[in-house]
Amino acid sequence: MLAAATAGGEVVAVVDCNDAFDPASAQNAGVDLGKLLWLQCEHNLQNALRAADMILHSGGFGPIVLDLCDAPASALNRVPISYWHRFRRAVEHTPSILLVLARQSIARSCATRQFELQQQGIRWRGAAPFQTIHCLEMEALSRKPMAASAVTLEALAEV
Amino acid sequence: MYACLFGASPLLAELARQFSPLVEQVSRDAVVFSIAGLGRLIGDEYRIASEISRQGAQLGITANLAIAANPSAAELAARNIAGVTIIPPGQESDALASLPIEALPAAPELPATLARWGIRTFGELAALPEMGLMERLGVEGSRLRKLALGQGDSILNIRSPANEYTIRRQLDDPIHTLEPLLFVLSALLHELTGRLQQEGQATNRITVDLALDRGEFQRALDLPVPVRDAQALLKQIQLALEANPPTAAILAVQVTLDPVEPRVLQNGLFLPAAPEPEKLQTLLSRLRALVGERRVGSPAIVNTHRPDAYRLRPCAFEPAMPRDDARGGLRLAFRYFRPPVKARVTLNGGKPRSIASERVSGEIVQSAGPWRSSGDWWAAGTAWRRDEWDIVLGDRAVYRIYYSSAHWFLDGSYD
Repeated sequence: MLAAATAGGEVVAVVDCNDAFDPASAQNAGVDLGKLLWLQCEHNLQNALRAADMILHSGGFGPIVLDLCDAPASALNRVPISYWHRFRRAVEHTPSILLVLARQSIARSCATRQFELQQQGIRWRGAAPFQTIHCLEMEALSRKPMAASAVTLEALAEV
Repeated sequence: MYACLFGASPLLAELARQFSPLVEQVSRDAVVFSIAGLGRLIGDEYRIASEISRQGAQLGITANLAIAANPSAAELAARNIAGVTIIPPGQESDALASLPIEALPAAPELPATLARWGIRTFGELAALPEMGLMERLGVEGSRLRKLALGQGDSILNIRSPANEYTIRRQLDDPIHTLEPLLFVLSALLHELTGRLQQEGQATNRITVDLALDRGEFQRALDLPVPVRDAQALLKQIQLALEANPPTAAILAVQVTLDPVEPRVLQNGLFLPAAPEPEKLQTLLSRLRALVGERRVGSPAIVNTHRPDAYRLRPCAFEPAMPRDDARGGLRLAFRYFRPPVKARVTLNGGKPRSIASERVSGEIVQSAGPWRSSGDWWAAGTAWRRDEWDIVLGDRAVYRIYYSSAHWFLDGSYD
């Protein structure tokens, strides 16, 4: 999504709660790093939410990724629903997209779309002991709106 | 139309700038300036001359004033005709005809030569044939004849005075908190940005100097793009001062703006939206205040084989046309654990068999490696060396671990 957005000339933002973003991976995937605002929040969930709010309200961004994947579930459950309502109001009627990444569903009724990704396996290339990762197989299922069947995706290691 | 002021006052240029930004100080005692466009504001040439005289009198200036269709005619008239002279367009030669030939701006020997020919006035010179003058005096002869006719073709050589973008205010009472200080700063910034606006300039650096009860305080802010919006500048200063407030009562405030050429950008109708530069600067300042100076920016890959090598650059987003080289398909992404997590790894036959760490623990069902890498061995203290493994745990999650400095670390996960 970030690669497509930056190729389309949009400016994107990554609010990185746990400093997990890898610029090299992003560049390999085709993201124009010159059009990316990266914010490292040092494992501070409150700062990540406040930063996302500021970015949403400043306007002019395309996709804004709020990465909460490594945030503790207990902390995520304590985030008031009003935060997500506020975020939803901020992106409504704008070209921006707020993409929240987490290990559980947290935005609940405020989300327009929800997808669940599950890692299914890994495919290797080459023979042991010189194997390298060829691709990760994932299954994507739309939770909102509910879809009957999942889609299988492959994330390739090589460009 | 042009006006010329001729007199001994040092305030001539200041008087001229009250009427026009296009002012040339031709000598210490003469100033020529354009009055084009003043007709709509003030009226005809007579009213303009009257207004200039009135403003000059207020400043205490005694000078000759001449108005003519070109700068040369206005200057010659002001230098040689006392009082106020208004030369209607097309009547320059008649108005200047009686002036003595010595009044022409030329090398001293030329008026003497003309005097020997019996030419005493501008009118007599203007009556001579141009080709004859060219044959005898060269190009200079033609130029002098045109001046005598009041048809000089000089243009204004405008030099703006080095504008000062610094204001200092001594406070009546010491200020102890930021809020009243911001009121003072707001007034100063509006005044300074007004000057920038007048001169068609913007700024990319603000310096705030505070004279404190005990010592001095200085804060300088560099802006990635030139700005001249007082509110945007005030917000930047506010955030900077909130992050690093002065430590004593404030006695005086000084603000300095460094002038630069403003950014000129023609946006396209079909360009995707990008954050407005002024809003972006304010946003970045607020984000830096929230998470720290060095945790906000655009990443750039560093030219090294060292893993996780990047640097953060200041953000400067320009609107750009969409590219058509977007790659299709999904690519494998890596998620770092920063800082790397220490792990206990058991080996079997040289291969990792199980891992235990505060984030991930379990049996390793598949592994690939070791991938050995090292670098910077030529620089003392920065050398690195590591053996990397890609491992798959029982829940199908894929991680990267590495062995370095006699310890195992969990580097991150593939996603």
